[in-house]
Amino acid sequence: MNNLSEKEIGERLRIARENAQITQNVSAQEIGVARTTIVAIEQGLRKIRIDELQKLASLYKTTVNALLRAEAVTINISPSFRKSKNANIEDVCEAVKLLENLVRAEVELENALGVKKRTNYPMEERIIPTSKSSLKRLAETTAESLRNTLGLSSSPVLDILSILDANLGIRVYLRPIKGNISGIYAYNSAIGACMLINSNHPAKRQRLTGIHELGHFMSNRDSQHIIYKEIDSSKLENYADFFCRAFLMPEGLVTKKFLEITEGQSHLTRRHIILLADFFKVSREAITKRLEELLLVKKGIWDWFQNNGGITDHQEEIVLGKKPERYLDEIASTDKIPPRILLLAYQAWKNDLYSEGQLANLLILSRHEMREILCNLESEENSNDLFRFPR
Amino acid sequence: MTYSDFLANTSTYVADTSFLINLNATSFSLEIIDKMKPSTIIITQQVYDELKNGQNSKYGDFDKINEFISKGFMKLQPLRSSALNIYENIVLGTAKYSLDDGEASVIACAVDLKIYAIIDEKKATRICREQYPDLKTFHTLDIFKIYLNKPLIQNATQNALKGARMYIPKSRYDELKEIVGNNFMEECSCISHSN
Repeated sequence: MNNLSEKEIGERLRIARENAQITQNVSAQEIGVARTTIVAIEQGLRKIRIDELQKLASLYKTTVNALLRAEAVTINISPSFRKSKNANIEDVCEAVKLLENLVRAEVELENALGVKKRTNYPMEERIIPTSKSSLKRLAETTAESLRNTLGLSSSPVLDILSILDANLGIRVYLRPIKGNISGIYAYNSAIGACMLINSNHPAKRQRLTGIHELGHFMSNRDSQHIIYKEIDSSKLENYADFFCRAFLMPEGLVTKKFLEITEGQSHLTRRHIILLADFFKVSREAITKRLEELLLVKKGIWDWFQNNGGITDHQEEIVLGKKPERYLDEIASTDKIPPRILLLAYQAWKNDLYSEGQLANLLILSRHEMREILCNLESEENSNDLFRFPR
Repeated sequence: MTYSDFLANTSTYVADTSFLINLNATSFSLEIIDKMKPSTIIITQQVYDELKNGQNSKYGDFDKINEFISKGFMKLQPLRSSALNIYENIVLGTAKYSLDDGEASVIACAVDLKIYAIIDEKKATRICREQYPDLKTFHTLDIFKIYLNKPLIQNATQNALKGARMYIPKSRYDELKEIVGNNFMEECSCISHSN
């Protein structure tokens, strides 16, 4: 049965079963065997028949080909998330499954095309048990060092997707996630680091989420993690929060910009906050609290604003002369499948490596949707076919 | 054998998902099936399941096919045990030489029962040609041309292109132009317009 060993087949079946949250008993009933037979199959001790494979594939909501073709990638990051206590468990499972599906599709297509995602991971900074103030210093130093490495020294962070994906090689996906989950981060040696960011959130929140997860990537790389809207006060979370603030709003640049904007003026106004928030591409709350933290303004200023009418989107629009930014990436947020995966899929189809049915299954799309994508990409390629890569 | 020869014969076809979607998109699928009688169309369990799993699609493909099966216009047929080896050969392996379950089951069924396969998918067609050269395959366009008159061929083809983005290999573009006309070819977004 193809080039996979019985052990590999069994392992893939086990992962597929667990991903589908089905017990061995249910699987056994489906193919009319004892549970011990399922155990033996999953351990590679008993060869599975094609008709049994078909039934189990159907039960696990997949196909035989998707399960067992050589390039298929098995990823299971679910178990680490079931322990999360804050969110609705169904929302967590759905989000984790989405991340798994996206990563699986991307990695499998890369393997099939012989393409390797370039990574440029900086050294991990392991956190040694330490005080909160030492954590803060460590996070700020790491953030500053990374900013310098990325050539950001005196610039705000405008494009976090480029930083995370293009510069560092972290797989980043923007997709709607239900519930109060802001993002998910996962890492393993086969797939590298990957993140799913909630595209339902405003762009500034998405940016914070992305850099917060980057903080985890820098300090505790080999982990799985979910962040929520509410504050989590564990040491790792503290580090990631400090890192995030220092990376997006570095002390030196914030101070410089603050002094520039407020020069010659006696009072802090909403306009100042709006301009600073826009410069650093963070929320008004984030920049105000950063100013408080750096002792550039009195503590409690944000609360004062909140108690006195807040700082509104309308006021921001008046000051900046434009609507508040909605999406980090308009295309990424509205497309069901990330652009890179679509391009890989199209190339795989064009090269006759994957059929329409295989791709539809891999990307969890209907045939109609798959055809639309292939059609559009083919039209696009034909209208821009001036330059062929010299490969 | 020419197309007109087929008209004199009762043929049995096993259809893949592509054909069924194209058929539904014509908006007169029942008329086409009626004109195909007494020929029979078989649906494998794998193709049936694939349509069923995609039933959230707004096009209602599964509902239509289910209706045809329940009324006896199409026949749902699981693979025989004699087809399973063939199926296994096609569905397992590297991506380049394998097909998804539905696509593989159509070829396995056709080879096993020695009947015709209606397959549009380009990779599936290639695998048939390379690995099962004795298997006779038809494209949706062939079925339209065998069983429909000229105006209906044009309507069915145009609707399948517009509604389902039916795949037509470039080698058949001249033939397609004869059927749908130059203007339609120019405007159709799913026709490749490269040189």
